[in-house]
Parts: sequence; C-alpha cells; structure tokens
Amino acid sequence: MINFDIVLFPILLLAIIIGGVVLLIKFSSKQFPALRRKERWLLPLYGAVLIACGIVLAILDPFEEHSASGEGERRDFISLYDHMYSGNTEGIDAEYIRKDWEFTYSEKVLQITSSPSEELMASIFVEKVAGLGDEIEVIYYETPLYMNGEDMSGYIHPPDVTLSDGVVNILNPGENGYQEVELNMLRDPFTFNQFTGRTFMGDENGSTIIHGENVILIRVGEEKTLDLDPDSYIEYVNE
Amino acid sequence: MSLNKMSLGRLVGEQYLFKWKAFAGVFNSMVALQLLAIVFTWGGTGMHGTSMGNVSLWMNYYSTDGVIGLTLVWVFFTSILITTKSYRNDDYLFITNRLSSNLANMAFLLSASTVAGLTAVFSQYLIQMIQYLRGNTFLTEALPLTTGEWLSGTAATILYVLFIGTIGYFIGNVVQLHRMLIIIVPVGLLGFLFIYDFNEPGFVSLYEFYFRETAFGLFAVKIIGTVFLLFLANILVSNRQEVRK
Repeated sequence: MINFDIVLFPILLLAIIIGGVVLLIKFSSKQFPALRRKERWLLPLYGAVLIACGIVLAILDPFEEHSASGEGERRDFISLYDHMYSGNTEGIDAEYIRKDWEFTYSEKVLQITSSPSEELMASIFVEKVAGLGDEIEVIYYETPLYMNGEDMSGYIHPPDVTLSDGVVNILNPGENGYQEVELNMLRDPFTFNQFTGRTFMGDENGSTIIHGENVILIRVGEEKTLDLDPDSYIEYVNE
Repeated sequence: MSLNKMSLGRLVGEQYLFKWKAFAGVFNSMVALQLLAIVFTWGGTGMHGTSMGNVSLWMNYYSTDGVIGLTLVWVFFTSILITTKSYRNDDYLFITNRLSSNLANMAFLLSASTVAGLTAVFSQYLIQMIQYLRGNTFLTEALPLTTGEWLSGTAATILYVLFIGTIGYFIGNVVQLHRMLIIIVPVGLLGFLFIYDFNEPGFVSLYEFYFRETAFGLFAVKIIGTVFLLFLANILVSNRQEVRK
C-alpha cells in the first residue's frame, strides 16, 4: 500500500510547482513580448521556482523548531552516576525520567540481560529495595545531549524493556540494536552572519558536543536472587 | 552627425534598457552556476556528529554560502566580459560618450547585482524544498531572523555582489588600456595570490575593514564608498582608452 503522505504528496507538489511555473511563463510571454525568446525564460523561470518554493514551504511549514539552550543550562545538569554510586537514587529529579516500566514477578530468581549485550546506549544499575515484594520497577534516566547548543535528546529513541520467562531484557532501539539519527539544519549564509554574530556551526558558546548521561535503574525486592548477564556490565547501586 | 539633442539621463536610460535586453544571456550562466551550487549542497555543506554506545547522531548543515560564492565568481567574470570590445561596440548603436556608457554599465551592474543577490538568498527555499521532497527532517533556528536582520543580510548580499562586480569591471577596463595588460593583469593577480602573505597587517586590516564590520550601516557606507571610488577610477581609465577604430 502506497503511503500518500510520504511518496505521492511530494511528487504531486513538485509537479504542481513545475507545471504552475511553466504555465505562468507561457501566460507572461503573451503579455511581455521580450519573454517570447526562449533564452530569456530561464531567469524568470528560476525566480518563479524559488518564490513558489518559498510560498509552499511557508504554507506547509514542515520543519521542526528546536530550542537552543543557554550555556548555564547546558552545564547545570546533574550527574546520574554520582547518584547511582552514592545510592541516592531517590534524590534524582523526576524531570530526568525519560521512560519507566513496571512488572510483577513472583518467582525468586530473576535474570537480567541486555540485547545486544556488548554495547547498550545506557549504563544499567540494579537496586534491591526493601518492601518492593514482587514489583519490578525499571526507570530510564537521561540528561540532555547538546550539539552546538541544541538539545538533541528528543531525537534519540529510548531503550525498551521486557519481562519474559523470568528474564528482564533491555533492548536497544533501532535496526539490529543500532540507532542512527540524522538531522538537517539550514544555516544563514556568511553575509547574514556578519551582522547577526552567528557562525556556520553553532554559536561562540555552543560549538561543542556535550554528552548527557543515560542510566537504566532496575529496582527489585531485596528478597529476589539476581542472575546478571556478565556481558551486559550491570552494576549494583551504591557499590 | 546626429541632429538629435539628447540629455545624458535619457541617453543612459536608453543604453541601460538596451543592455538589459542584450545582456540577458549572462543571467543564464548565473542560473546555471547557482543550480550547480545547489546540487553541491545536496548532502549538506557541513556535518557534525557524535556516537555513544550504539547510537550515532549526525547533524547536516546546509547554507547558501556556496551559491553566494559562485554568484560572486559569476559577477566578477561577467563584469570583465561587458568591458570587452564586442560588448563596448554595442554602445555605438546609440549616440554615446564614455560617461554615458560607463553610467549605463554601472546601472546594469547594479541591477544584475540585485537580481543575483536576491536569487542567491532565495535559493535557500529550493535547498529546503529538495530536502523536504527527500523526506529529511529539517530543523529551523530556535531564534529566527528578525525582519531587520533578514533585510540587512539580503542587502549585504547584494552589496557584496556589486562590490565584486565593480572590481571586475575596473579590472576589465584597465586591461583594455593596452594589449599586454591582458596578460600582465591576470598573471599579476595570480602571482599576488601565490606569493602574498595574507597574514600581513595590511591585508588583515583590509579584510577586517570590509568583512569583519558588524554594523550594517557602516558596512554599507564602506562598500558604496568603495564602489563609487572604483566607478570614478573607471571613468578616468576609460577616458584614456583609444577611440573606436
């Protein structure tokens, strides 16, 4: 089944733009005799295409507006690892929770693994909590990743977590557990940047990449016996 | 000898209109060069990326820098072209003198710079449309340009094109003084590019004078002033040219 939005609409749009411009030139050539010579068509045709593209883009507005952050905001985020190694998991602000899962599991032995196990997008920590019983809580914490001052976290898919046959499996998103995100941005030309102070790639304070931290915390009852996959580099909280 | 008495303004106006029609072909090469630059930006003009674990993140940057750059190259050679004998001889279809011819050429250069500058700036819409049709996710600036910033940027683009065009026109006129200069001037310019130390304080000051000026008003005054001086130099140079044989 052809997806109209993805395939047909852009082609139809292109056909309308080209057809409309050709008709416009044909109509104009009747009014302006100078345009009857075909070698004079190119500039008006080109100009009309540029203007038509501008109008269509203004109507469709298909672009996503990103939010650039200030230098202070970029530097101020907390260290999730510090909280994990100090055992202060309750002290992590809820704003850093990107996704969470809850499961109920009554057996005593619980296996934890990740897939693929060699390279997961987040560090995995386990915490045994008194009074949790058969409940299993999985929380994915994330502090922002900034690229040239722009928060890119929203474009990265979080991992998924499943519980099946006594195994908590943390799954990397993307094809074969590999996620490739490609974004595009139009920058102003140098003739504009000269007066706005912007640069081609980021501004003066933001031409760097600041990695955030990604942590998965698995909280289980203290009476559970855990079987951790050694290839998944799973660590205990406060150890 | 003609019995018609024409004012300079009318003469320049008629010559300008004639040039606008006769030189229409030069815009085809401009469109071709701008389209070539747009094709070159197909995959982006800059890239920045990172990876963490099995996540890789890439940001492709697009800009019309390449389009503007090739437009500057185009206007430089077009300006030289209109000083050549075959183009100059077209002026003799009218009652003319060197002043009216120079004024008409400068008016044409000003119009051509406006057209070239505007199309170079507007080419961003075609670049964006191509990416949209390719299905790419496109981000816009968090802080879009204000109307004033957009207008000053567009005017600066036009002024840059006019500036380079006037330099080309001046070089073209100088070269017409003597046949040997056709060889000496390009060789001298190329040699200058190879042997000159661009870190010399003199060049740095010149570069900063035009290209590091952050106040648009001052930039405009500098460019317009330079264009005016070059134009006066053009009149002086062309007065030394030999008459039509």
